[in-house]
Amino acid sequence: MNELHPLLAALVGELLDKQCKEPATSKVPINGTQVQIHKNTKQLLHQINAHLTYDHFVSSVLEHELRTPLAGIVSTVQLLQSQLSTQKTEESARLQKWCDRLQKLSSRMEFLLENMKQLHKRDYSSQSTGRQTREINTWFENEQKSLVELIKNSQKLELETQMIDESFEYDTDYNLLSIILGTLVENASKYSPDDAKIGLILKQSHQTLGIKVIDNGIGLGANSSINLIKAFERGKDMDHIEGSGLGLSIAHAAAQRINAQIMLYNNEDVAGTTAEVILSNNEICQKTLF
Amino acid sequence: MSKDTVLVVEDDQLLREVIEDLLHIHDIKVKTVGSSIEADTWLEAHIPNIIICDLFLPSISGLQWLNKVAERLIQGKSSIVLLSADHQRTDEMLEGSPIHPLVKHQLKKPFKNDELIRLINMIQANT
Repeated sequence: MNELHPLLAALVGELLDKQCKEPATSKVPINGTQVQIHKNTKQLLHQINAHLTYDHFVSSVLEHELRTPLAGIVSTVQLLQSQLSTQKTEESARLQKWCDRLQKLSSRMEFLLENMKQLHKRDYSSQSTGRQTREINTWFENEQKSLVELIKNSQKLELETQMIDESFEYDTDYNLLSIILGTLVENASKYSPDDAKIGLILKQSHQTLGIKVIDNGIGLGANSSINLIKAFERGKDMDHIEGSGLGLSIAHAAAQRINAQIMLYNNEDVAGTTAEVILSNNEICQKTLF
Repeated sequence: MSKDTVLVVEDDQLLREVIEDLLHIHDIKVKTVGSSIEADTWLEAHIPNIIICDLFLPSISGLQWLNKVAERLIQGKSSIVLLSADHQRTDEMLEGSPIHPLVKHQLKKPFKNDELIRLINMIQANT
């Protein structure tokens, strides 16, 4: 538990390196204020490390620990389903529907756990980040199969591409992009009616490259994207819907790691929300939208 | 119980019971234990065809325990199925370990019941 977070370790390494390179003759007498600053800095570093260590613990151990009860639930549901499939009564059909619901909820939980693990691995792994240069159009179309798994059976997913160059190659971490897109689609499904249509648009203009996830759900309050992104905070007027902002906070963290931005806004003329991932524009690294 | 038995080493009692029920339904002989100590005791008198082992056990890790009893498992030509959350990391830990050749598959929790049964049937058919 005493290992340093890679970012903190790099910072400490840099500081030590700098200290070693300074000539011995440049030693300046240290006064009381400097001693206090040194102590405070040290304390701060300890606190940051404690937070990061806890984060490491939560992400790795908790992720594994939660998988065991989840496995028990999923396997039990599957056992129930196989028993029910042999009966052809009205009662068994209703129970089958409840089992399907439990299975969908379990898949949602597994999706969150998997995303937590992927983010954690990227922060702690010394290996490459998973960046690739590939045709984003092809990647987008291939994602459809896994995205359909995240929405309700009665909902529909519609993909559209608006590309200037159909074979445009984009360099990013596509695993993290999958996490972002999956989370936004799952979120759109959760807050939309059972028969909703969820639209996905990959759009390339001369200035930007981005993906829009459009639903016709309950919409957001104005400027509520900040609250939605904060971990565990719910959007206004959404108390009756299960779930929390954990998914979106994971998507936000993933977006930060690939220098992308997520914007959430109400649709202009119709009900519902649009979640937009801006992958690339001229000012993306300098400007924050939150 | 001997060579045709599947030994399940899983510390979570409820999941252990679910796997036991599942295997019983498919007429597969199964012995479940909740710790490496219990597993050691059972292994003194039996040798399983397949071991389904969780990686996170209370006292020592699943891999540490399997490596400890590796000689007996190699002699008995047992196959191992690991319940793991991170295949890549498990592969790294398995590299060069005595039990590596015995590990036939890794299953991620939660797993599909059909997948587990198919896997057991496949291993049993090949041994």
